[in-house]
Amino acid sequence: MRVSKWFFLPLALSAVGCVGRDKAESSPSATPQAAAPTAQPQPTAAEAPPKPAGTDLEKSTEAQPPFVLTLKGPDKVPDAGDFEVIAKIDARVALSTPATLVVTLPGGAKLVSGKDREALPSIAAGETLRTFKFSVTKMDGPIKIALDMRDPAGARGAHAERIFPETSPSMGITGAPAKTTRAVPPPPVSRPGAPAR
Amino acid sequence: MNVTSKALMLVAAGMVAALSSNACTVKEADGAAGAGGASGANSAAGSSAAGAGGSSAGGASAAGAGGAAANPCGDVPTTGQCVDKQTIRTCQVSEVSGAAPKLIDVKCSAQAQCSVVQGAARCVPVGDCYNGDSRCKDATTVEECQNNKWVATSCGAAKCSSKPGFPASCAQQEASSGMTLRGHLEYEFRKPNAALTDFSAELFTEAAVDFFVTVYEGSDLIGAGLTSPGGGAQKAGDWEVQLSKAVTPQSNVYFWPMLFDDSGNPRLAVAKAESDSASDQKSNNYWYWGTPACNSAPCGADTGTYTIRESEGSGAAHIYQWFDYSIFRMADLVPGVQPLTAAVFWEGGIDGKAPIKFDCGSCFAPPQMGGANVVYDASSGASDHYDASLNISGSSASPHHWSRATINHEIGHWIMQSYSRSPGEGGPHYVDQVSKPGLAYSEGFASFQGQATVSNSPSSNDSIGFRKSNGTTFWVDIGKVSWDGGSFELPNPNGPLDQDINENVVASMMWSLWAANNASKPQGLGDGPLYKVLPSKRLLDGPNRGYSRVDFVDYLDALRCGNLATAAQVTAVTSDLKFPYDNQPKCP
Repeated sequence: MRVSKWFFLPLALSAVGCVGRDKAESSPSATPQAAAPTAQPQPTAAEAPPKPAGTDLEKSTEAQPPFVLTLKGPDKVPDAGDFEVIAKIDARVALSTPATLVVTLPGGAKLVSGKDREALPSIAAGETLRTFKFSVTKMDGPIKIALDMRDPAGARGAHAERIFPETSPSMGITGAPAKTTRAVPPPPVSRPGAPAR
Repeated sequence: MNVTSKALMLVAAGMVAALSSNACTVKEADGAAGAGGASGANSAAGSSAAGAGGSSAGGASAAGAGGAAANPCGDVPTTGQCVDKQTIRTCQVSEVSGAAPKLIDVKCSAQAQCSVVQGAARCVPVGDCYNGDSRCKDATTVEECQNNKWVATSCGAAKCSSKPGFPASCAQQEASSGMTLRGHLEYEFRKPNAALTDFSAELFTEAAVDFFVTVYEGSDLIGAGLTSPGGGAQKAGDWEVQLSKAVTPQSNVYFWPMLFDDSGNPRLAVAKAESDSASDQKSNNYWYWGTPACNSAPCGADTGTYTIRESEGSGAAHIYQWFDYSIFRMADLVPGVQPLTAAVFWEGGIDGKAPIKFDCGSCFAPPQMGGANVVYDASSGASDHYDASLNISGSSASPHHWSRATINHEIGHWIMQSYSRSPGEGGPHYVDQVSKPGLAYSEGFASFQGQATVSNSPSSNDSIGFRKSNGTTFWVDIGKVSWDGGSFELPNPNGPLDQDINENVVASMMWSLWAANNASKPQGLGDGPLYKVLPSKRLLDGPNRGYSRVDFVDYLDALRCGNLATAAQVTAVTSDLKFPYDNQPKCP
């Protein structure tokens, strides 16, 4: 089955600013082993791709995650049939902390090839790809793929989960909607002490 | 510990007055900045602590075991220089492998010009002040900034009055209805889940402390006050406002995440991010939340509890709460310094806006980036000027507003820039990487101080910094970074003092000095030594040792020079993680 779309939920190279750019320059996207995309990968997630670094290197930035997990699969999942999903692990530097990649299947889905649980004693710098082939008959939910990394000494850990197909990208706030009874007009000033609008 | 509890600790520490007045610990700035703290001079009252430090940060005074790297930008220091009236030029040495050093130019806004203040270039008012600023010159004279100059007006028999949140003015007899309106403010937030795999599905609430409260009847302001840190008869988050007239069903209450100085100028505020570029540092809107003061007549005196929902942008409230807490915590730990004013930019996707993930992830933009501006008068375009900014991402994949570690880490950079000397090395960095010593010191301090801030005390502490970026949650327990931990590359004990080093190793060593337990080699020094050392002469303008910019070696030297830590304490911590500190401090 044709693999034609990156599900870019976590904004892989995102890695902010120049990191994303550097990463893209130094390690171009690997061609998936299963099948070459016929179209340019398109980010589908909430967040835009990283902008090239400008003059912002001076800022003190937050630490970047050790890895980012993304999934790539067909545009449309068949009601019945087979398809492939490629999990891509991007690691900026080699990771010696052991990790586990786990596939969780919904009802109506079987894993035809690929391991449903794989221990990764280490993760190499750059891209690590894993291809999974699924056979489905009316899945009752998405497939979940999770990568969990734990330091045996308890000094650090990391975790990423992705689902396929991505349902609706959740953007930002997910709490209960504001109560309409609380609706009030904007304040007459833009801040305390400011002239009236 | 939640931040409300921390606020209550401030109460215990005798800081009720400070919080209640919203700014009463602020000292007047020296020189041109005047009393208006927003003007950006950041002059230190009684010390030379403010700013990014002396020109030696560029490498001029480098010395030490590892030798000094030549300044790759020629004469341009990392602390910046003014190349013309409007332009700050800064040397940036990127952490990205192989990336060439860069010269960065930043333009000051129309009312500002470049000036070197205590060794660091920044944008300051063109004249004496920013238009619209006001202050009391003396008891009976009010001054307003016009055309960037202070213009004095006598109040006659009246007195000049200035108070947080309002411009200085000649005091009028304020009408009073004799009525008090009260209520309670809280906000929703999320914590890491028990398995540390994500933020909790469950929402928690905590009291909102030190928020500005205004009550309007139509366009008339009829009362203002602050939410309480608690104490006396009040709980944290309670508020009580004296009204000039009784509320009606047309009256509304608004809550603002803003901290003002005594002249009415903002010291800290959370504004709505309008761009994913952290270099923009501009907004046209502050965050606020509003609710009717009374739903139906007859109106009562108690509006009840107002909970800022996540869907209403409680992330902004959470960020503000920690920053406000840190401002007063630092004022208590290191008195006598006027820290940088700061705007926080954040957008979580409220009111139909797209959530914003900044191009830097989350970051602190120091004064060399030109400062921040938030328009407060759309008709004239007048804006509030801030020395620096925090840019906190608010997307679902990077919900940094819920990460206490992220928020307080970035506040840590503000602390270093406000109270000490920053190495001026920024850029992306990774949990697993070693970094240049300057960047590792800056980031290590920021992470250490983040965990120290969220901890109850050195003996009841939280050593796990939990973050989520780009859909990946990750955490580091700086109390468990050890020789046999295996996860972090430790220093070479036979290497030079200025060897590259992992920022978490630096954070862990600081943590061991600070913590009384839950650390690799706990020394239990606590807040005092670890923070008081920041504005020491050794760090600000003392001799450099180790790396060419200020680094952990200088920090340890400063602890030793100030008799804030013994040789045995320092050795216990550094030898544990194989850092070859030699305990031969070079003191001023």
